[in-house]
Amino acid sequence: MNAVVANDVPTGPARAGVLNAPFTWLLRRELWESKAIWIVPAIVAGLLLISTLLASLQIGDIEGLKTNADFADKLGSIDADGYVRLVSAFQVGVAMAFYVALMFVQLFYAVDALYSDRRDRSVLFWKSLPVSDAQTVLSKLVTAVVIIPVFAWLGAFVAQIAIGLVVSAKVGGTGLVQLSQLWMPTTWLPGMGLTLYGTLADAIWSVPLVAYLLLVSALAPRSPFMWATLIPLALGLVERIAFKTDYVLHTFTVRALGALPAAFNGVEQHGMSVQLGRNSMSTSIDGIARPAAFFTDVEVWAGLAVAALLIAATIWARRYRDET
Amino acid sequence: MATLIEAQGLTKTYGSTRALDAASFKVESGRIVGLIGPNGAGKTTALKAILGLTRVDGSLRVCGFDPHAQRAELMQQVCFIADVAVLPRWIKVQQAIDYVAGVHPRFRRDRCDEFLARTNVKRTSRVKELSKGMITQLHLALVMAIDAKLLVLDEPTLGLDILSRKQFYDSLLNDYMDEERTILVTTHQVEEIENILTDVIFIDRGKVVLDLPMDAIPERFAQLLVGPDRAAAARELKPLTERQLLGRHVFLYEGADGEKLEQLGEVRQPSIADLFVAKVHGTELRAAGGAA
Repeated sequence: MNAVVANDVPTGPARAGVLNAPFTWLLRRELWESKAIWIVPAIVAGLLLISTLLASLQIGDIEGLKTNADFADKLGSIDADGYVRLVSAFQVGVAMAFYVALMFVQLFYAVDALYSDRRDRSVLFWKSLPVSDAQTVLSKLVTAVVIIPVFAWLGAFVAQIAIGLVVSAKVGGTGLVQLSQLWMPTTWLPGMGLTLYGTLADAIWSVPLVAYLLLVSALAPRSPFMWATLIPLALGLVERIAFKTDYVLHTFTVRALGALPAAFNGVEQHGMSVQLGRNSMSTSIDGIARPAAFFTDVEVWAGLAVAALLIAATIWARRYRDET
Repeated sequence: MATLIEAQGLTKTYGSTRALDAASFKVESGRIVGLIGPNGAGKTTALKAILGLTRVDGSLRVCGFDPHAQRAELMQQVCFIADVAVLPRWIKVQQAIDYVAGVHPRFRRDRCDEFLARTNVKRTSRVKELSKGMITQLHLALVMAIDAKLLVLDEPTLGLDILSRKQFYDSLLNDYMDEERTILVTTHQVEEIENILTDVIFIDRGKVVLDLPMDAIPERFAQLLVGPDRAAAARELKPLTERQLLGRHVFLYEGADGEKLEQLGEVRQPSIADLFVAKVHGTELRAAGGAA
């Protein structure tokens, strides 16, 4: 009846593999546009490394430490477990810097993701290509909850190794630290696992907040950041007046502060801030992560369910919002 | 010849205004169709409906697809360049090419390269560093490299200088158009595309007021130039419009007897602009008067 739809036109060179899949190109596009995704971790890593170098220059007199018998004794008595604890604490400390940066990158990325092309009117160009609105929205979601955390974790990993090398170069010759023990893979693996778990937990935890920001960015007529802030504040105010409760603000705050309180022991949320519980680092690192509790947490799964609804709404908004 | 676009009773209302009011038309493959109408006539709404960017009532098939429900599939067959669909300013030329090549199964990179090689567009430039003419050349290179059945152009040359405009249409005709392809174009600069069109559709206040092939115009419409002494006789033949030009009266007729006109004075083929004034502008003025 209608020959028009027949695919009789040659389709160019064969395209195969994940690297050439259209969705991969959508993700690449995000990295081209939002360079903060890799620049911010690179800057944080650079700053940490520079401060380490400066600090190592400041502490000129390592030999002096050796003469402090008490100190040398303490370092000398550290066993394999001690190295693991020391290195893990160091790794977590470095990762925290990236973790904070990650939250900001994620926030600014998601709130702008479906707005910037409407602002510069390129949205119709993107829509002139055979990419569905669902693919577009999912590419932004994957960027926010997978790509951004992966870059943050990679940045942390590189920084940990680089700082470790600087410190080793500084103290290596003194005999204060057993370098062979320090650089055993087994010394680093627990901390790597810990930060990997933290990154994964936080990515999962952030999905509903990212989905909410994407929806706002697909709908806001302008200033999506303002809308994203005002909506919870207004809802919270209404709730406060009507029911004298704070569930809305509490929910947004808990999500915005990240997964650490939910995913780790010894990290507690106090009002609007997260604090490390006492002795959290001195306990064995095996006890810090609580993946079993996290992955069976109703809040985690409820959050993902809400996120699914928000993403469906975002795809709908991207498709039906009439652009002029 | 296949029917690429089949629109039946398209209707779209924004609040109390009817952007499209039971508009029906067909576009066959291999044609270059001009969609012409005054501002706010419903051109853009019709194009958006065809591209699946807005929902309309009525029945609409483009390349066999329901545009709004199947936009992504449709866009494998359809390309568009619109004044409002600008290329993102941050993207580099090379990235734009790579991206389109990555997501579009019908993109031919060699064709795009070939076309770009004839321009001054550098691959390392960002779009924001290019002139408006160069951006259009880039967009055209991207679109011309796609084996699409239908190309929709909405004011594609708006804001370009006359040389760029001419180059744009020359490239389209020489490097793009063939029997397999179809172009649907809207523009305010009707004179510029008049001689490349094969069909015209006039749209006014949401309705299709004229839809015919260019080669049917001389059969159906005629323009008559007479001196003042013959004006009364010319008026008796019921012209659509009358105006005065350098002391002569110019009448436009639809379906008039050619031989009778020849006896009165000089007969010419009316331009699209003349037809536009007769079929659209007159009614538009009346409507504006009535609505005010």
